[in-house]
Amino acid sequence: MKNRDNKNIENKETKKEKGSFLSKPVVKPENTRKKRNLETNIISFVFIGLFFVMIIYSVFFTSSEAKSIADNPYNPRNAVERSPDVRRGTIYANDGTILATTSVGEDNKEVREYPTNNLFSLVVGMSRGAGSGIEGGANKELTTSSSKQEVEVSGDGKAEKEYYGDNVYTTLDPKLQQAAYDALGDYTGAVVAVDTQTGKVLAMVSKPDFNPNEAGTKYNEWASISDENSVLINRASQGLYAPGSTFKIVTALEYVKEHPDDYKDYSYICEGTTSVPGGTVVNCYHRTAHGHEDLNDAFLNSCNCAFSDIGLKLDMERFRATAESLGMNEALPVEIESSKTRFDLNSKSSISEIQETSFGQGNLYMTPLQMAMITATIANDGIMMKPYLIDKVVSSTGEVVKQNAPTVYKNGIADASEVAAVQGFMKNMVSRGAASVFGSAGYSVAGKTGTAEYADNNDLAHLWFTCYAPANNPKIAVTCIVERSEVSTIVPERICKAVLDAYLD
Amino acid sequence: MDLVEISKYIFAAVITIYVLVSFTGATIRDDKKRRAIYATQSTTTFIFHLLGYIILFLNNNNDIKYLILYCFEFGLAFATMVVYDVIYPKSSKLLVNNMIFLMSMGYVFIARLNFDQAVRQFIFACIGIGITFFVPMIIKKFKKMRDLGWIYAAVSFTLLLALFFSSRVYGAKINITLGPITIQPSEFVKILFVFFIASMYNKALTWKKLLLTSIAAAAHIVIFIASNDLGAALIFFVAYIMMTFVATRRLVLLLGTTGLGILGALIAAKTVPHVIKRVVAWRDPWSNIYGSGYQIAYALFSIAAGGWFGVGLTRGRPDTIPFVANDMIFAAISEEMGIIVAIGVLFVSLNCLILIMNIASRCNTLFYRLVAVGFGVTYAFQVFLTVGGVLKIIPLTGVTLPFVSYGGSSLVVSLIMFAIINGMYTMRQDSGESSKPDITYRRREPKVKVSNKNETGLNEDMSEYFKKDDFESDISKEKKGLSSEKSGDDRGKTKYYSPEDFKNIDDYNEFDDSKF
Repeated sequence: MKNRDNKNIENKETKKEKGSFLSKPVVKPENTRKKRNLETNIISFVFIGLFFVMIIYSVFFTSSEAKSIADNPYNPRNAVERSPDVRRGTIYANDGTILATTSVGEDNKEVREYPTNNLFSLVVGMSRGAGSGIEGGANKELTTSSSKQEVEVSGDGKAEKEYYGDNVYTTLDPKLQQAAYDALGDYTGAVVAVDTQTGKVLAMVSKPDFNPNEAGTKYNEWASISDENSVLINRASQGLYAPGSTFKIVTALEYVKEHPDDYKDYSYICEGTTSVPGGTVVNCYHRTAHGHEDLNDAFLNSCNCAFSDIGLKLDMERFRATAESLGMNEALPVEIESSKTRFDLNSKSSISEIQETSFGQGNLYMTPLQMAMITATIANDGIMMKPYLIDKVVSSTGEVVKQNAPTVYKNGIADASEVAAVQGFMKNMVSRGAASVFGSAGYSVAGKTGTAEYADNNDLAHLWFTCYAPANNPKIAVTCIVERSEVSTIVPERICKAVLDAYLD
Repeated sequence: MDLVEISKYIFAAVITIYVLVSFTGATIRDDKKRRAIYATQSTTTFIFHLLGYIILFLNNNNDIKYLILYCFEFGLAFATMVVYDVIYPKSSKLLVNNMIFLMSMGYVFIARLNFDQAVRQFIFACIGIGITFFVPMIIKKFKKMRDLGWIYAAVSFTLLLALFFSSRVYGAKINITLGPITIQPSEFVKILFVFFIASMYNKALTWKKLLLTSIAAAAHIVIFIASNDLGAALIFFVAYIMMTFVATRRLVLLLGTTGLGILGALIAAKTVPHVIKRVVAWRDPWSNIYGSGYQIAYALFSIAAGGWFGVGLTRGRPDTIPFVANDMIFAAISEEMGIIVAIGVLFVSLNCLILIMNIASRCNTLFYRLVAVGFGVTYAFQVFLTVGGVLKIIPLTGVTLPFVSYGGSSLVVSLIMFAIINGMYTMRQDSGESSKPDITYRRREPKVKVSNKNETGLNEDMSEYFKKDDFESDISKEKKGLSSEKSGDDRGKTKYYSPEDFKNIDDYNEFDDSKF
């Protein structure tokens, strides 16, 4: 070092040019004293910048974001702060069966019990945090004591005042729920049954499920299961699936609406596959050539080629208006978590988008509950009732605090005569297409099958069936989806039949 | 309105006054006015601390243990001021006051969340202040400190590697458990790391040395990433690039290393599993709210509940957030005292950083300047990591808010770092610049200290600028024989020249650069 220093001093002027890379100083000698502060000032300014990002974000967060985050149903403040001194009310089925209740154990600790175990797990939900399912949706009612009736607290601990919370009576029918639950068996999927005239949700099953009584020990295990196999997602109201051919109900309705006088004249010759300029190649199932078809035949054959052709004949803005009047692009206003459905077509959509959406694929996502409501709307002559799960709220002393009545959710969707045409298609679909399953039934059924492509796998698909019955005097609509099932099985039809049998026979 | 409700506005007012006084105080030269500012800071700190404990006392069934702990903490705060007055007579009082303010705030919140932890925090504060007592002595007596270089790196490596292969807690940080206390060595390694880089850069800096130092720094960072201590990895990285920038004075190096750092972070965010997990939880905590998104989602609920003035001390639910006293205390402050007080904490932290950078800019010894920069950056970036993480601006890294969060290692190390900075401040004031304000936003020095270019070789330029300081260094001794008499005379005191003096000096160009 010393030697080099000496050398440097001697060769000062030439050092810059001749110095080896490794001994070249990083700092140039020209720096002046004033520049000493430059670096620390730059560092100060970098941090002043970083800190102001945080400060400005804090202000932004508090002034605009905070409200929606505070309202998040998972926020424990929404659950607990309302009335910590109320003993949570009981949830009943429509026949008085207890679905969830709070009891006090030997150690004076309150325990939430679910006597039906897995049967209602997803729809009734759990009271953890702000709760899920009805436990979450009716949390306010369950933790409000309208009666102010005190609980007799016995035991040696210091007596704390506690009131009985209000009880919630649901629209759920244990008989139908059990039928749907058993019929779905070990399949992954969902079943929804609604009363077509009132919008009451009668049954709602989603699988895989869980036993809410085991939440204390198994919750973390459940929460760790990834989306596709998740047990905590209510597939009936939260699952978003391509509706597949069930969506042809909507496409057919729109065609009838746009051609009220001459829809019967629609004609198409199916060759099993079709391609139009600027569009995508559309294949019918197994590339079966259906030959000459009118609209009714195309619906019965579930002919993708014909429906992509029908789609291209539609006015996209009117198609969108019809889909949205059936509740697409919003979340249904039920008391439990429900996902926003999606229908993307508009006047700027490409030909291939229009083709795919018209037969139920593309950027089109549907929940089973939404599909059940669309089916119920067709059955109800074009009037969509508001779906609901809570029939009434009753105080612990028996006074009715709140009674929900059926209300119209959407009307003006289509004329009764136009809806009647689609009803006819759906009746024919079952009497000719799916006759084998419903042949033995003591009632008539109208419905539509669907097969939604699942990823790139041609052997497995999400299978749909949606229907209402009796066909001539509709009372109930049932929708079933079976995930990742072998194509060309009739599992969803059988499940729907089991539910209809339980209700109508 | 009850006391808790009223206190919300008092806390907000008190911290606003504190922040305003701190920032104006730093620019004032008049000694009388500065004394008034110190007094205002102490008074507002006192009100904040006392009011906090009165509320805790009243809301915990008048449990006297809160008042006892308060008295001890008040005593320690007083003792801290005395220690600094005696041991560091010329310390930056603004920095000391900031430190005490942040600690008082931490005491209140830790006691509110968990009384037992507050007692432990107090004990660690005593240990930290105790060590502070000896820091200036060590700096003064142990001048070899700046020449140890690789020894620092060897010690920190041995420490880290030994621990990396032993126990781990929560799959994250490296811990040593000694009976009832758990030590986080990554906190202590911070000091070793900053000393290592400062001593490497202290002597004439060559590309080779820069490269070797960078490799050693990178190795530290890799160990931290491997042991899932991402916060430490980032803090060490930022300290390294900032110190390199100050030592080399090359903006291109700062930008280049920052770019490399961002690139490295992006690669890590795509490839390293535990980094991916945190990035996913950061981007959408809501979809896995009972899993990886839990901590951040509950922190956001907490901040959202607080609003501008908070829900009032003891009235919130910060206890629903996991590890709230350690990593998420900013959320607890936001919930119960409101975002205004929380922003006040940010301003006080920023004030500390500016004070430290000013101390650094006045250290004439490159070693001490680098240490000050290293500690300042370490401190401020840690604040950014924890607060940015809690606010969901950046992914959570699980670091503490220095002086405020619960955590013995963090508190002791922060106290030592501030003590070293203050020790250096005292020493630079020994050189006769004491009348300068602590912060000069637009620094215009009327006089310039110059060196005589004739006496310097290229490799010595660094030492020419930075070694001619309050202390004798080995290098300047070596140089003595080679230097002109003038240089020798300059050593040990600061010599000023007025611009006029320059007219006849060869180095006019150098002077001209400074654009007087």
